Amino acid sequence: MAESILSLRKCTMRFGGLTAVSELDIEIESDGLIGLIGPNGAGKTTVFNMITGFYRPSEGDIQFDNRSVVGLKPFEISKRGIARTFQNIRLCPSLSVFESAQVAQAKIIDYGFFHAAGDLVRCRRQEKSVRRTILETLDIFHLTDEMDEPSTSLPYGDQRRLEIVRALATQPRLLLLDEPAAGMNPSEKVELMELIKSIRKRFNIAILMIEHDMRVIMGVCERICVLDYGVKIAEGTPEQIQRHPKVIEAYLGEQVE
Amino acid sequence: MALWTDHRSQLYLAAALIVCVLLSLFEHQISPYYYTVIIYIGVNVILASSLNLINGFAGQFSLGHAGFMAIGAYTAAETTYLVGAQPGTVSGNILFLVALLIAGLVAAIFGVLVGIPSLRLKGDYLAIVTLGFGEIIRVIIQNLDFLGGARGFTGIPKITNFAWVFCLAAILIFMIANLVRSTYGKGFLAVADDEISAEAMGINSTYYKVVAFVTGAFFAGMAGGLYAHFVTYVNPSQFGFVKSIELVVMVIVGGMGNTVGVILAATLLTILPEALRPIAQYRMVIYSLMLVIIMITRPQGLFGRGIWMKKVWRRFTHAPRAAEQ
Repeated sequence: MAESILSLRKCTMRFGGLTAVSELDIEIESDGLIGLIGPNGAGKTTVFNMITGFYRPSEGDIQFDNRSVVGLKPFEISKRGIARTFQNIRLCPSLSVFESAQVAQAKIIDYGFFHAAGDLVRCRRQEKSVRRTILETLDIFHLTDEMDEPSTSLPYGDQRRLEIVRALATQPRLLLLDEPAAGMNPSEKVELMELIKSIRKRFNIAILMIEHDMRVIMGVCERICVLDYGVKIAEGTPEQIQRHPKVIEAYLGEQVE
Repeated sequence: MALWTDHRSQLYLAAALIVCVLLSLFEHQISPYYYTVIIYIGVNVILASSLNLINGFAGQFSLGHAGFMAIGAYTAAETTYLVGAQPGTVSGNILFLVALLIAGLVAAIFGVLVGIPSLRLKGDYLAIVTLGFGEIIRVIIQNLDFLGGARGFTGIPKITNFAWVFCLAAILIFMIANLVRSTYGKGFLAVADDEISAEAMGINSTYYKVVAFVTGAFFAGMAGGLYAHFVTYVNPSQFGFVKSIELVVMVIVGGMGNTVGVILAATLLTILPEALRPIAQYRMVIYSLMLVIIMITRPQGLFGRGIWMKKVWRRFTHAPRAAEQ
């Protein structure tokens, strides 16, 4: 088993009197593909927001690559190598498909304001390699033909894939996918499952995904964590989770005697 | 031709600078009135383009641009006064360049001072803070006796000419065009659209906002210096709220974040009040009415985001798409 890349240790997130996530432990290996499921309002997206620095956990520690990321700003965490997509798509309407991916490379380039403003050789050389990387990534996701279109004019499924492209363009080692299959039709979902599996191999990264579609999550994840009211109620392989009594209870309610 | 392929943008800039200097040789051939209007166009192009970097590209609504212009105008005027720069001499021109750079730097320092605390605010709130800043600057200058107070600063040497104004405009446009094309500069657009997703992609939104603000302030300061050394007399009321609004209008009419559009709008809106002079007292009524009509019919600005411009340009030049370059 590969070494752990991300570990949440007793993470608690409180909003006033409400405890959204309580004493959560999650461990992800550097090549893991973990699913995070739970009924609506279970605190799944809150977990993502804690990992990516949008929320600061009230208690507990988050270690990425054996260093704590608690208290860092979102952009600093992104620089450490965590990328995410959003549940409600957040693409920039004024950027084209190509430019959306280009933005994600802004933290990788090694030149500053004056190189860019003066169009100096150092900037030009790096722009070329940026362009190459983006084109390769767009090609994997079959978005090359639409690269000059405004990003928000794409069909819904393509916008979701573009969000993944953009996240991958930051060259992460851990990718967080927040409901990637939401709003997709069945054939798009099948495609997405293949895509997620191939991303992990090709980019050699760990993936943590939130998903409501059980076929998708059971189909791709090796291990699944189940949250209910902010508490982890089960963890295990898809088969174990499907038979887990607490999970059935959380989703379907208690059995009537 | 390695020079052409590797340094195309710098060659364009060099060509533009040479043309500006050459045209400047004929500046006394045209009537002083037209000449004045042309200089105003250049100054307004610099001001509007630098504001476009803040309001258009970085999406931060600033209403205090005239404040930076005032700082630049007074700093440059005071500097040339202290060193005794003479128009028409080589040393005078060199000292003027130094004065302009100092004017830009001082304005940029104020940009940092105002920007860091106020850029935490968004939209209307930021607009109000920057508006307040512009007014504070004006009132402070009004009460500084060594700058002439409300009487104004007189006897500024007339050093600004066509070459100065349009060379600076060319440099600014060169920088902005390169910035927004680069991967670095895409950060401005991302921050303008959605700070949260920009941060998630590793973009330090505060840094980008401050950079846009400070760069805009720097060029507004230099434009102020140019203006002061053309009109030879400045007083605080020239840099009031109305001037800031005028610049914001140029950016909005041109299309937020559209460099070419803003240049055209700055030109148009400088000429328009002059062209309307024959109708005397109805002049500003017509001017305001035209703005209202433009905003109703083209809320995205006359030239919008300029996507169609890019398409025409591409067809015109058969330039390859981003992919094939």
